[in-house]
Amino acid sequence: MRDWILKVKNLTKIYGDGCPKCLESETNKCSFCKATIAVNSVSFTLYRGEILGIVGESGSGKSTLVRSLYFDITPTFGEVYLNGEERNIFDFNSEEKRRLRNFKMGMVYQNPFLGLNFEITAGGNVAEKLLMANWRNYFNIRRRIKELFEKTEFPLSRIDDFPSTLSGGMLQRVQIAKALANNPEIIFLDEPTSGLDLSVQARLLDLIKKIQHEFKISMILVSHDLGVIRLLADRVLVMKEGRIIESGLTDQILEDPQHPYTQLLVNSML
Amino acid sequence: MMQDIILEVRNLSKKFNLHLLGGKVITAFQEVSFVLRRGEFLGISGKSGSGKSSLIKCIYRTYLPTEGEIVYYPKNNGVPIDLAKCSDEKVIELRHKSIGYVSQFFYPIPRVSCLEIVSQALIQQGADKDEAKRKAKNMLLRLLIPEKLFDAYPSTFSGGEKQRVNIAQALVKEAELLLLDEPTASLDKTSKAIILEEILKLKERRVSAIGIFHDDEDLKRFADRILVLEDGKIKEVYKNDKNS
Repeated sequence: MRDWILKVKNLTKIYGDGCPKCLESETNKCSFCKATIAVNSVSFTLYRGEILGIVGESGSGKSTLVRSLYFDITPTFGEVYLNGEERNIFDFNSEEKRRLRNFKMGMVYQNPFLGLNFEITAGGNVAEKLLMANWRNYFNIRRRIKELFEKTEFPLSRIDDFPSTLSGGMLQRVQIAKALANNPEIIFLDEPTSGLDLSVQARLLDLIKKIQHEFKISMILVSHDLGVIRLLADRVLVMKEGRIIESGLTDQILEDPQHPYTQLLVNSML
Repeated sequence: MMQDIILEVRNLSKKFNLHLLGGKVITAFQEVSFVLRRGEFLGISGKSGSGKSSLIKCIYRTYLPTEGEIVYYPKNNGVPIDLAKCSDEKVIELRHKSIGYVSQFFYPIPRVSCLEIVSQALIQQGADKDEAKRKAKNMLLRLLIPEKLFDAYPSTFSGGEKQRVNIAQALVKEAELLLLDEPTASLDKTSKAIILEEILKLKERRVSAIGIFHDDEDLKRFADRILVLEDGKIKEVYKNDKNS
């Protein structure tokens, strides 16, 4: 069986003080203390080389979940183990967390403003990630950026342009190049193609698939679009009100959904 | 001897609970039990709606069985696996390595060439890229897919060509267990003949298989035994004399 790469146990994020009743709450709003339980006791395993899809409506906690795993958000509690690291990665100090982010993880956000620095060039954004992963030689860095831009089909003629001059599709390619720069073990993709027009979306999805085939990188792909999930994911988690309500093989979730919400979701497909 | 058996289905039932229709429950089939011997070809027949496809989909785990067991006995005395309850990860592994499935309809991944689709099946099994490509090409040629189509996308192919690609990706990896869900339904004569020819070769190689065929004549041609479903229950299982 495939090796695991990430184990998540009881990951929970509560906005507000929280109370002992929060986790029993039916919705993501605690009826006792009014705290918001964005992610409620989520547990799952990510295997090496797989694409795990996470679906669910907006507000279901998908983004909070992946952003917690990338250390953008500090969870209230929970444990996450990365294969090769001995302790719960949430117990790491900030330097150790930075090491994981810089050497083992990559992230692609829906909103390029979150993933890229708009004050520096497209190439500079990728260079930044390489510098953080201890690349030092200018020529090596420049060569690596070109290689990454070729892989992600970003036009090399735009390497020194600022993000504000790039199209939505190009910005996502820069983000993907940046995420790949340090040869990560895991890439998180948070709605990477939402809001892009169909042809751009299709080409980006092809790129993600190609990258996964070529490098066998494990990915967690958040999307509200079941079509995207069908195309890319091996397995799917369905989230609602901060919890995982159903998980399964992608074809099983699409053809034989069990939970009322998943049935509604699948029946809402165009 | 367990070594003689590859699959044992015990008291298997599948019910669909349709929450959107106020919790209406539809029973696809119930209390189905049978064994598949290694090297045996089991045909499933029955009217439309009798639960044939649902049964095959449960074995492949596209459907989650409601009750019962589907015990798969890997070769060389491997640990038996209950396909009804084992982890998704285990199912993925078995799909990659040991269980092949040919669906009635093929929805090819858009913008992936037919050569890539077929070689990917081998790469998942652990073959290296060049080897996979070589074998995939041979398989496609055997199914009379013209070489000029190898780098084209099957979504643009004719129905018959598409289904031949579907067969190619299932057969190329020489699975231990093959599930065939009407592989020749609604096909033109030529495509049908090509596919049936390949299935006959499988049979000669003694591949264990469960198959549904639109045409009773085809079923009788391949099946060692035939299981008849009626209203979701086994009506009878009989030896196909024509084939013994």
